[in-house]
Amino acid sequence: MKIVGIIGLVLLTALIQVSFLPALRPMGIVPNLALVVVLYAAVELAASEALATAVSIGVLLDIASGVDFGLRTAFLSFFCLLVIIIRRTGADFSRLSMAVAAVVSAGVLWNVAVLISVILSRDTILWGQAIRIIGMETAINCLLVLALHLPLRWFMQNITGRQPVVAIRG
Amino acid sequence: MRKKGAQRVLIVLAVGVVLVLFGRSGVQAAGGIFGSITSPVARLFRIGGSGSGNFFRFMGQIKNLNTSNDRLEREVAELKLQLAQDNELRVQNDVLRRQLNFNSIPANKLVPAEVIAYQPDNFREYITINRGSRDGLRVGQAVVSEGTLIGKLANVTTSTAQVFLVVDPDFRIAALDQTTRTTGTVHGQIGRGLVMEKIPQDQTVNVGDTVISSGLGGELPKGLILGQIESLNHQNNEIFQTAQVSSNIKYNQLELVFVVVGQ
Repeated sequence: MKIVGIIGLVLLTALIQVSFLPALRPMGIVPNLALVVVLYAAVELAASEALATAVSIGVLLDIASGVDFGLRTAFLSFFCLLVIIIRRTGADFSRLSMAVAAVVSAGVLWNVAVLISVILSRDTILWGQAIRIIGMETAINCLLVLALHLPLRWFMQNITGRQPVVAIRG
Repeated sequence: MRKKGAQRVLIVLAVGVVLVLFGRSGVQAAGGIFGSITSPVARLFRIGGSGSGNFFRFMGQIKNLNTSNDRLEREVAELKLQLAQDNELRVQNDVLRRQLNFNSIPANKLVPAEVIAYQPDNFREYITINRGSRDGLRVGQAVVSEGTLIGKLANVTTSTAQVFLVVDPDFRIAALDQTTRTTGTVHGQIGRGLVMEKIPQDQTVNVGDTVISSGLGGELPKGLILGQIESLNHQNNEIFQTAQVSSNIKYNQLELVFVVVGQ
């Protein structure tokens, strides 16, 4: 049941990230659903399961991407490990504020990583446009976290057999 | 217990590293198979996303409908007049082409393809289509939509292919102004569409001129439309001029494209 749930989550996340969200493009921006799902996997699943989720989603996104093969796998795995390690110090990512902070930080870092790969291959970037896009993506990712905070945690706690949480803690 | 968990984490990490570093071709081949299996589902997701996106964009544009309508009616009247004149020119053009044995892209050299996936992030511009090597596609072939060059094939598997779009900041193509025959290089800019640069200072380009591929380098055929000159940036202390190039293509909303095979 757990394996089926995780595989289903991975496939659904990848399909939505490459087909639905880019076609929808709220305000012209593609939100980063993969980042949000990996965050909650790192919070609710065992470490190896969360990492397997991150690696699988990353590989699928790398296959769908035409460039920088491996970048998404590496970043999502690194993000997952970082969340797991920080959790062990006592940080509570099940709190909404922590989840939003994690996704905002990771989202900015991710976009900087992509921009670095563009700079290394070519010379100039319109920084004003790049900053505008990063800002808008960050805002939309925050809305995504607000919308999916309970459903994702409920789903993952269900597939792991734990009592689902019903309350939002800030 | 913790040791076992740490071992599992290391194993998963190792698998990930191996896949990324050493298994790229295998992963991409598997990805091609995966793509062909999930293509119908991806298509449905894409249609759902496009429909929802179009609905919200329409709701945001309602208040401008009246003004747009008046402007469009005027444009239609002007275009009808121009069409009548162009029909005459087309007849003359056909006669001349037959006499000189020139060939435009024949219809049977275009392979239609649906877009099933897009780049999953914001700064790079690639799309995935549901045609591959079994349909005659090869890396480097030009891809057009509504008569405009939108990119070239970058990766091709048996049943899918990835299109490197012209609006990607890494895309470069030698181009020329169709009217003045001025040459330059067109490339994508993040968030700003296309720009034509390396235009010599002593050469002329005019706002409204059509920009086409020049065929230099032999990568892509000559004569494929890229867009129209929207604005010029001419500064006397610079070696080259630059021009902003725009087209009617909505690169973020592509649904049907055509691959030019047999070029």
